[in-house]
Amino acid sequence: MSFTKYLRAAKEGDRSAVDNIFALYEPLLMKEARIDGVFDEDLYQELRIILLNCIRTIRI
Amino acid sequence: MLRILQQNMFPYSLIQRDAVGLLFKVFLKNFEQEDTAVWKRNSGKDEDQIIQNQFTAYLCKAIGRRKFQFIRKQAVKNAHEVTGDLSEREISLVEEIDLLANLPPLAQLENQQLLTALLGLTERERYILLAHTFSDRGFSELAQELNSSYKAVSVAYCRAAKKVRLEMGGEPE
Repeated sequence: MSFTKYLRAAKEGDRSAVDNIFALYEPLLMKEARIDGVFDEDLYQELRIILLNCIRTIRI
Repeated sequence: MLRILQQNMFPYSLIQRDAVGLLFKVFLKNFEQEDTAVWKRNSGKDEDQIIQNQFTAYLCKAIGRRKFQFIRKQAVKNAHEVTGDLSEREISLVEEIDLLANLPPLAQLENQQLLTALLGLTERERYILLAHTFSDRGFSELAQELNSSYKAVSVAYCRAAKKVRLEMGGEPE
């Protein structure tokens, strides 16, 4: 299945598609959730919320 | 395999073990879903890949903004943290008492809800509202001072009052 299909499904609230996109962007979130080289759990959580919001708000 | 991951990808000893575990799980998941095009290298030519790149860019922008906000918030929190040193703490307490007495009337308000409602207004609205209600100054006088018309000031006052009422959970009218 292509990324666009996943994204469309995730926008409509398909749980497994959302999980797939999360798995895909996990490394990016992990990378960005570091402050001065230290992994910050709170920031990681915030970024996950941002990813959910992005899935909901992006227009395709 | 976990050890290889730890050594090669994350030389940071400060990263928690469960974080590495999570990464490992994700890593395993990659192998399971090889049919999903998402794990292949993105050349950016295919329409699907263009959309993916757009989404990633959109996400990166949002992440950058949120991260900046988060770090700034944390810096403010750290700046206000009281140190564990007792002698320093005593000094700060004395200062706090002095500060409270000299604070402007707005900061002396005890009703936290009202205070947050007032802080949500713009400076001009706050000034008009407080000057009209507490100092009993007329709209025409305020209009002259703020270089605007009687009508504009009265409208601004009504709006400010409405906002405060809404913020405190009351009816707008």
